[in-house]
Amino acid sequence: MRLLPSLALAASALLVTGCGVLPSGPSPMPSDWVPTASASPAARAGAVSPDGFSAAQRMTVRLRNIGCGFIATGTGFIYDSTTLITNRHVIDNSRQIQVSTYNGTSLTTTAVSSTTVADIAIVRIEESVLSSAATLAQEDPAEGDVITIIGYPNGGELTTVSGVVLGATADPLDSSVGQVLLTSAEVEPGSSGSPVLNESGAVVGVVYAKTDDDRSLIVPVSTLRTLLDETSLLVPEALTCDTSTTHSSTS
Amino acid sequence: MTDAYDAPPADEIAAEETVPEPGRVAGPATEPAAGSQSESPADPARKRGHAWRVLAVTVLVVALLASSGLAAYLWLVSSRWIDQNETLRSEATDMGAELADAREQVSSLESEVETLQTQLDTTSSRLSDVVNDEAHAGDDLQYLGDLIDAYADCVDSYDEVLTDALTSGYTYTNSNARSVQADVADYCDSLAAAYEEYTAGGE
Repeated sequence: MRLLPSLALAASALLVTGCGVLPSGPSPMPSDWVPTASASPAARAGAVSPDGFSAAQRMTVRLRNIGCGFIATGTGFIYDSTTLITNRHVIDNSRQIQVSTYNGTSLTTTAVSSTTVADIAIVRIEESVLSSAATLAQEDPAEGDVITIIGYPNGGELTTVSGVVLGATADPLDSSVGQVLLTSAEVEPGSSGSPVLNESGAVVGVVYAKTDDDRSLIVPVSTLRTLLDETSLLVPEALTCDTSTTHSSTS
Repeated sequence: MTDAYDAPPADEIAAEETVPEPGRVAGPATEPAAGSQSESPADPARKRGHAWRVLAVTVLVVALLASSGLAAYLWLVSSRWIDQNETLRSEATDMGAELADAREQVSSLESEVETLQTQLDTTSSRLSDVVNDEAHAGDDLQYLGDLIDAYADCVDSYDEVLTDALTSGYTYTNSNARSVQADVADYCDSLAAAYEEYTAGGE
């Protein structure tokens, strides 16, 4: 009579095992088959504005230095709604600074200041609705990093050139305290003050000179950050002159 | 199992037969009981057979019930899957149609975007050209304005020199006056050179 419990046990085991391999019914149907929409192309980073110009182009401005007997042009970029950044030598000996954007809009300058620490100047403008402003990178670019420079070479059209960082060097012009960066990007007079962008579009430096072998020198963003943090290093520039020779040039 | 059906030993049977039950008249000691002759020795085997039959029937009934339950369950599950399959096919067909429409629209829109992108590039390029021309015109205007102001200074200076010469008459031989005249002449010549340089650069 021990057979009965054994059979019952075997039957139960078979039942449990069998239930495990039995197919189950379908799960409930979803109410919506449409997945969540991805970001629209216009919302993606780096997208161009409706007028076809990139954020980097929109933040880059052309400066005209109406100087004491000369007219020079250079480049700068919008840091915030009232601040532009350019080179000190772009605004040197000026009696008036005129600023225009990529689409020809004129910005009215209110004050200019510069520093002897680096070839950097700050131009204050009347607050206006600006379509784009620069984002400063947290760190200087490393050797071999790809960079892009946007500016107005020879006072001409807004132009973009690319290159790589060749390394840090002492400033051959002695216009900066500390080291500057050498890049392979080719610049021209008039490119001075151009923003140097990394692959993310953040500013990693400011162009201030070209070398004899068509390389460019840039003030690294770390120096720029120091100057923006230490406003005491910036000295206001007086926009006056009393000479009267006239010539035209680009910085 | 076999122990339960074993016959007791002969001496025990004999003992049981010799002890009369109370209130009962004892029969002959050697007469066997009427029932004991039909139960042995075939009874245990028959009982075992009966138990096996009951067990087999029980197992069969259980198996039949289990099979029936299983079949019903499978039929139910199958029905559900079939229903859902039909629903999914219907949904898939509808979505396929929508997808075809959407693809056609996307294709059409891509073509439009391509055209608009080309137009935008052209417009942007034209805008840059115009802005550049305007900037250069501004540069030239400012430069020429400064040059005109300088020429005005030049004229004023010549006027002063001329006035001095006329008012001083024959006394205009002072070396300092001649030096002033030479400076004004140099200044005006530099303006002329600057203008020539400007016009040469524009050609």
